[in-house]
Amino acid sequence: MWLPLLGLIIGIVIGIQAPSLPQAYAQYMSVAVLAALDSVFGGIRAGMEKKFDDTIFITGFFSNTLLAAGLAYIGERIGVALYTAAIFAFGVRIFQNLAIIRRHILKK
Amino acid sequence: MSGKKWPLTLIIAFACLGLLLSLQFKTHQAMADDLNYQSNETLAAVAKNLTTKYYQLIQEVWDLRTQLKLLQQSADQNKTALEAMTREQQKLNIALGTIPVEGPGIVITIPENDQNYFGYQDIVDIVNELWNSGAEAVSVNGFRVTNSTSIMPDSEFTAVLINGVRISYPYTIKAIGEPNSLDKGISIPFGIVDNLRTLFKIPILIEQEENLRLPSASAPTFRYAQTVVEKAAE
Repeated sequence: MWLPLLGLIIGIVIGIQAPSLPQAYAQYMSVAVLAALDSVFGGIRAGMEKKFDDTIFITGFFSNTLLAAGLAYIGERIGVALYTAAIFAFGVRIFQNLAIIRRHILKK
Repeated sequence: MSGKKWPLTLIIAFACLGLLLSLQFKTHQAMADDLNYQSNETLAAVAKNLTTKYYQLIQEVWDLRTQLKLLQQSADQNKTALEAMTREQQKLNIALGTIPVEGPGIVITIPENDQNYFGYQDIVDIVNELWNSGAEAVSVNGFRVTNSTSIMPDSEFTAVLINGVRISYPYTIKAIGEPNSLDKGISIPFGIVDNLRTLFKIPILIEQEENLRLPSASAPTFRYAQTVVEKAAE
């Protein structure tokens, strides 16, 4: 239970120590953060449903994150606010996952 | 959930999420501080605030400048007053004889002689004659003559006492003033020096000097005399 939290804290500490990124990347980063959050909640949910699969989870995590950032970048290039679509999609999924996780916890 | 072993992948994912979160947090924080990423409304408010502050500071600078000018003026006034006071003090000190003075003047020397006539009264007469001729400072044998100097004979009328101190030949009387007028005034025909020279054969020497130096007398102390304060008319 605590190991993922430890991982989270380690990541935060590394991020604080690291040099800050150029501000032009902030938009892509925000979408990537959202995608990562979504993936993590999805992973927790899968774990609770005893359907957790290492490979699916880790590939999903990285591909979602990179795709979200890439999508935002392309959207920026072609003048379509694609990152709002990503925000919307990930936001909805995060809340769905949260709801399912809550139910699992309450059922116990 | 408690008994379940968490896979390594989830931990890695969490670490990545943490990294992303904190990076994004930092970047966003930097953006919030950067004027380039502020909204126009915020920028307008900031500009307005800064303009107001700018004018306030200009006002303050002017106030402080005015204050500085006033202070300088009062300092100048003080300085002028101080200079006037210093000059006044110097004058009074010269008059009182409490500071040494130097300047042109004449030296009257009465050497030892066998006439055995010259006495304290002659010194008093010569000093009076010198004051009368415009002397500004006078000394007798190194004693500065002030308004509390006494020149008296001793009890046998054989020697001269100045301030109670016995002095003897040669008597040297120095006076600071315009040398020519002092010389003329002191050696006026039928004056004191002329009389002493011709009638009593006293070999008095008079020399004009470019630069005389007269010592100071001790400052007077007033223990009893007090300034009279005039009462306002009722």
